[in-house]
Amino acid sequence: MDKVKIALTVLSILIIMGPLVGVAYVYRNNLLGLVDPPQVKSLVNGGSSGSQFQTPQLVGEPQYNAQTGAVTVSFNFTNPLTNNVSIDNLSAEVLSAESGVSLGNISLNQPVQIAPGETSIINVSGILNQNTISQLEAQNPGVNGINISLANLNADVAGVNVHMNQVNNAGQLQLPG
Amino acid sequence: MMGRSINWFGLSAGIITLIVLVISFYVPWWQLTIGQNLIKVDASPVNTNFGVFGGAQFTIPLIWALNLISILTFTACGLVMLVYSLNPTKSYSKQLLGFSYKKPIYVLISFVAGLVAIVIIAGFLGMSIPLMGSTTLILPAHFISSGLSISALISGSFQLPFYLAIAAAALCIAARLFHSHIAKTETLSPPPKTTPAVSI
Repeated sequence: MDKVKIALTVLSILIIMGPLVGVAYVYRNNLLGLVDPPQVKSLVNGGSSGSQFQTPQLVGEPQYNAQTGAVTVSFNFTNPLTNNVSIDNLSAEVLSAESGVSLGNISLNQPVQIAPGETSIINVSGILNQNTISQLEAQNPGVNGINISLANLNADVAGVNVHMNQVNNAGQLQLPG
Repeated sequence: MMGRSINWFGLSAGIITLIVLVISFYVPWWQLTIGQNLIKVDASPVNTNFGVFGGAQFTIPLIWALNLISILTFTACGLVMLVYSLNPTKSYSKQLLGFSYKKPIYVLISFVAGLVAIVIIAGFLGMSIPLMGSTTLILPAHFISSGLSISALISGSFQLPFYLAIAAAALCIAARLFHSHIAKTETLSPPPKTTPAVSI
């Protein structure tokens, strides 16, 4: 039946051309908008919440207990997203900023959940090698503290692993006078 | 009295095609997630959208138009296949079958080809995207500053509607093959007997 064949051919053409012509008509004044919606523009231009996403930032001075060797380094993290963010891991090696000697490691004790839009202080702690610190003290008599830097900082934020080779100026370990 | 011919493969194909259409509005054919749902892509020929950094999901207008083409194609093919299957011996049945059996296959092949193309293009950009399974996506060094590396778990998986679409496409092919059998049977069957006139 020719009529059936013609009807089906017309239907095929309408099915394919209809939506394409329709969307092209709607975007006739901005054809680039067909493949580049406002959400993509916002993401590229930094207007989206995701582009405000920053790795945890150091805040304040490290807290150091010279008797036990315990050290706590605080990081500040703001969750710019609309869903909860989990920080599952945050670890680093603590180095003497001057000599580059390794003093020990710090890590997050347990995962931290941060609600949308909230800023949290994340405390990362560890035990430093007191013998090494004593040696540094002996090499530099009269100093009040040891400037530290962080190496091999690893952060697991919302399933994304960030590795930084070096974080300079991580603060100063206050030594007992 | 002869039983009515039905192309059961076609009937099944038509029903499954319509089921695939409905399910695809709610469940994607293929899903990609990066990190803890930081980036989520729900892809299907019927409904493709993107969710980035936990924000509201969005689609791209051209993809939306292509999705609408697939919706109309699936609807037309499913319905025409059902009409054909219940009337496979009519004079117009071959046209109905020719219209309806190829398109689900074309949609399926186009979808898979599109995914493979995306994976290849991402590969050229130095990023590995798995079609199935998980891997670690390492952001290429030229995207970030030195001394910093960023990686994330990336998972891709095909979902139930994709497998149903394969089943629908296979049944469409079976319906086409079975049509030849029905047509042959129809040709070989004797013409219906006419009742002789009764004279009183």
